[in-house]
Parts: sequence; structure tokens; C-alpha cells
Amino acid sequence: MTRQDGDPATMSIGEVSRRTGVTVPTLRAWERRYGLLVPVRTAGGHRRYSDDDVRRVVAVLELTGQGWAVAAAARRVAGEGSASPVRPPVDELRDRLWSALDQALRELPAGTEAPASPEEPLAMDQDMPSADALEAAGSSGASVRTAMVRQRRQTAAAAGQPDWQLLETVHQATRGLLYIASAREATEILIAAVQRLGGSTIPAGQADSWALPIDLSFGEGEPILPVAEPLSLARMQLEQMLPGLVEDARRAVQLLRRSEGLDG
Amino acid sequence: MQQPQITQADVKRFVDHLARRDRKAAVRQALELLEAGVLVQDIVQVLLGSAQAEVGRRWEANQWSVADEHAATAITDAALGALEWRIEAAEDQGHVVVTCAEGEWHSLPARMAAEVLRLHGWQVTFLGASTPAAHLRRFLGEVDAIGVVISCSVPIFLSGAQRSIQAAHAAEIPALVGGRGFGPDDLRARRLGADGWAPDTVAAAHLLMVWRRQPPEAKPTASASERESLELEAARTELVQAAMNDLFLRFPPLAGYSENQLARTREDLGYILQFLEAALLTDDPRIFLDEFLPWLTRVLTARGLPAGVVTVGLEALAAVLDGYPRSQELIAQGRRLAADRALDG
Repeated sequence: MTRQDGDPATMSIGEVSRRTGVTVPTLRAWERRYGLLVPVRTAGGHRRYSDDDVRRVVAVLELTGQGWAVAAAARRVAGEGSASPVRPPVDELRDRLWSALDQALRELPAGTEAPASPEEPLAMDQDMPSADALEAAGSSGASVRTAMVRQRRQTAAAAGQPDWQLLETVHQATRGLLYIASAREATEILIAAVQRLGGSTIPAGQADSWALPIDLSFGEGEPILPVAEPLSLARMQLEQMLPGLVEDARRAVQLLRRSEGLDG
Repeated sequence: MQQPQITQADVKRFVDHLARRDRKAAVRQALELLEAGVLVQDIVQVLLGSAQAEVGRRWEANQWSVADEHAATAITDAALGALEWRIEAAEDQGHVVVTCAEGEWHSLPARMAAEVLRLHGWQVTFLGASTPAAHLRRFLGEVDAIGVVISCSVPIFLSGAQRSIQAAHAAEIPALVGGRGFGPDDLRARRLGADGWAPDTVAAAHLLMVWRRQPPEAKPTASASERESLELEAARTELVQAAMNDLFLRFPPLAGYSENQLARTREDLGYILQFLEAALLTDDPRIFLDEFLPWLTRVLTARGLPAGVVTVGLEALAAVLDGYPRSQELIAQGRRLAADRALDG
């Protein structure tokens, strides 16, 4: 994108910020990352912005208001140099979901497409690293072990690509959290989610090394921890999905306590 | 006017509420202090912070169980949540993301940091416990932030912290690290490639202010000498098993251990290796020698084991750690220190 003549660049970034309501650091980030702003330099080296820059920022704000992700909106506006999106955001969203799913399915390790039997471990310990990984690491025994750790991490990251079933579990739980009437109900929703992810739960008093140290009880009743065998698929699913879910549950419980004046 | 301060008596009262698992009394006390004019920052860092340190101490001394510790932490968390609604943020400083290092499930310290930052006028997104690095990377790709604050409480999650830092850098957002796991200075932070380290949240807030005016220079990822650390991680399970076999010969009482006690012993050997890995990863022997070994000795002796049991465990590991020269060296140092401490009484 090039600057058009006849559009004098006179504004400081602070002025752009005032006119759009977007903070200066955010504007700088949009400029750096997406090329959304195209300043000219004064003789003294200061950046100056034009009405076009303001228009592009406003266009991004409009798109995000319709549900677009900032990155997608900014790239689109910066790429077109105009503010009129040609496709409704719903289509865009659907595309992104489908390509994410596509990607997830391609990257899932063999054997994980069937979440119907989530107890089944991935058995990665027995797996040998791929020929590529071995070659990249050289051939000494120590390097083979190092390659195996790297590969295990990559496999874990790939297994973490959410598939539909995982997303559905999380969605169902999050939706449930909107309707809780007590902290106990939030705990029950989390316990159900842990089970759907292939794990189970245990009172903290009986916890062993299989337990994840995250209490699901919110200070009401006995602390309860999720458990899953180390390196099993269930364990990986819990490690991927549970932190965010527990955080949402904590939020829901806080809102409830606040609304009922239970927090003091 | 004199600003009211948190006293020892306040902390003791709060810990008593935790001991009785009385959530409402704990929340009420925090809110009363707020009404009395105590700074939110002090309530969070001094009252809740000291109380949690005491919770850890009681667990260490075997006075409180794991369940007691979790119950107390949940109540402190509820008090923090109640304060959150009463925090009136100052002017908008900008957006900052706060998260726990990958693998670090202790989220309360990070949550406390998030609240104090909010108080300092930052718009904070708190991601919670143990955010996988890949999730962090995806999330950061969609937001703008002055920085990511990465919390690590236990050094064995520093390798996870390193992956979190790399995720931040992949999204071109600078990483500020902190928490007990990073130790008393910026050495570990630098070795892991972080852009900044803060000893506490107030210092973190100041550093973020600086970054807001002048983002830190992007630097090449530090190449900590992590090879032996990775190799140890890869072989950990087999090494623990080999050390257990050695321990049966070296430590006859083991033959009489219950299944549960054997499992705990295996866990402890695994911890020793994990702390070794962290010390090698960051090239900071203090993790192993000054922080971990004295702590393990305290924990085990509080549970009725003889003090010498740590030395025996180290000997068993030394016997099986062939081909791990730096680990051998650290273990030898650890044994010398343990012997000195035994002489000191």
C-alpha cells in the first residue's frame, strides 16, 4: 500500500489516538504488525499520520465490533487499503473454524481420532523418534534421548490442538457456568468436564503424583483435585483444556458471590 | 495522616480463619482492613502474601496436609476475589497479559500480581494456571499488549517458563518474568531469554511503565546450555528406577517400606532429578544446593525420616548418573554441603 497524494500527513500518533479512541501502544502495534498505519517522516524524524490512517483504524474498529478478530480485521483493512469488507464475518469465522479443524486433524497423532476411549494412553514412551528427528540430532545415545524429549513435546503440542469433541466439552461446561446457583454447582460442572476429558477426581487428602495440583472446590467443602495418568491422552487433554476452564469457573463463582453479597 | 499498616496480629488472625476453613470470616477481615484505609496493595502482598507463606511453612513442617493447604489457598483466593471488585484502577496504562508458566499450576501468586497491576492502572488479562505455550502463542497473536508477565513459583517449571517466553517472542511481545521460581536476582531470567525480571509486582509495574514508553530491544534467544538438562529429562524414569534398585542395597530399611512409602521415595528421587534439570538449564547451582536440598531435608525430617536419608538418595543417584558430568558435580557439592550441615549440628 502506498500513500496517495493530496492527503497531507499532519497528525501525531497521539492525535490519531484521540480521534479513534485507540491507545497509542495499540496503534503502534497495529502499525508494526499489520502495516495498518503508513506514516511519513518529518525532517526531524517524527512520524506524521493522515486522515487515511484514521479511516483505516475506524474500519478495523467497525469490523471488530461485528465480531472479527483484530488480526484478521487489521490485515484485511491494511491489505485492501479500503474499509469495505466484501464477505460477511460469519463466513470468515466459519472458514477459520474449518481450517483450524483441518489443521487439528492433520496434526493429531495416530490413534487420537477416537476420543470415545479417552483412557487409552498415547504410549509415547515406547515410540521411537522419527528418522528425521534422529538425523537432526545426530546419532549418539544422548542425542537420541534429547530428540525423544523434543518429539514428545511436539506430539504433546499437536495433541493439544483442540478437536470438536474437546471444544464441545469446554463449551458445554462454560455454558453451564452461566447458570450456576452455587459454588458447588461450578465444582460439579468441572468434575463432569474432567471426566469427559478422560480423567477423574480425588479428594486432595488422597492425592498422589497422578493428581494435578488445581483445586476444584473454590473454598467450599473438601478440596478436590483432577487425576490422570502421566503421559496419557487424558492427562494431555486436561493439561490443555483445564486451566482456562477452571479460571472461567472461578470467575463465575466470584460473580455469584458478589451478586449474592456472599463476599462480605 | 498515617497510613494504617498490616500488623503481625492481622496476619495471625487471617491464618486462624484459614485454619478453621472459615471463608466468610477471612473475606470479611480483608474487606474491613480495606474500609479502615489500608492500601489494597498491602492487603494483597502483606496480609494474603504472608498468610500463604505461613500455609507453605505449615505444610513443610507436616502440621498441615495437602488438603489443608488447598483449602486455605482457595480461601485466600476468595478474599482476593472479593477485593477485586473494590479495586478502582487509576488511569489506563495499557494492556498487559499475566499468566503462569507452562506446567506451573500454582496460580495464586500470579493472580495476586494481576490484581496489583490492575491497581496500578493496567488493563490486565489473566490467563490462569499452566497455560500451554502453544495456547499462549495463539492468544498473543490476537491481542496487543505492552508485555506478558510470566509467573513461576517452583524452579522445576523453569523449562516451561522458557517455552512461555519463546511463545511471547514469537508473537513479538516482550516477556517479564517473576515469582519464587526465578530466584533472588535476574540470572535465571536472563539465561532463559526473558526481557525483564522483577523481584515483586510493584517493580514489575514500574518496568512495564518503562516498556510502555520504550519497548525493550528484541534480543537473540539466549542459548542456555540445556543439553544435559534435556538428556536428564528424557532419561528420568529409567534413572529413578535404577536409583531405586541401587537404594535397596544401600539403604536396608527400604525393604520394609510399604507400597505407598516406596512410591513416595520414587517421587522424591524424581524431584531431585527435576531440580537438577532446572539448575543445569539455567546454569544456576543455587536452585539445587541452596534452595532445594535444604527444603527437602526439612520436609523429610519433619515427616520422621533421618536427616541422612537425603545423602543416601544423592549417593544412589550418583551411582546411576554415568555420563552426566555436570549432574555428578552438583550432587558431589550437595553431599559435601549436607555433610557440613550435619557437622554444624
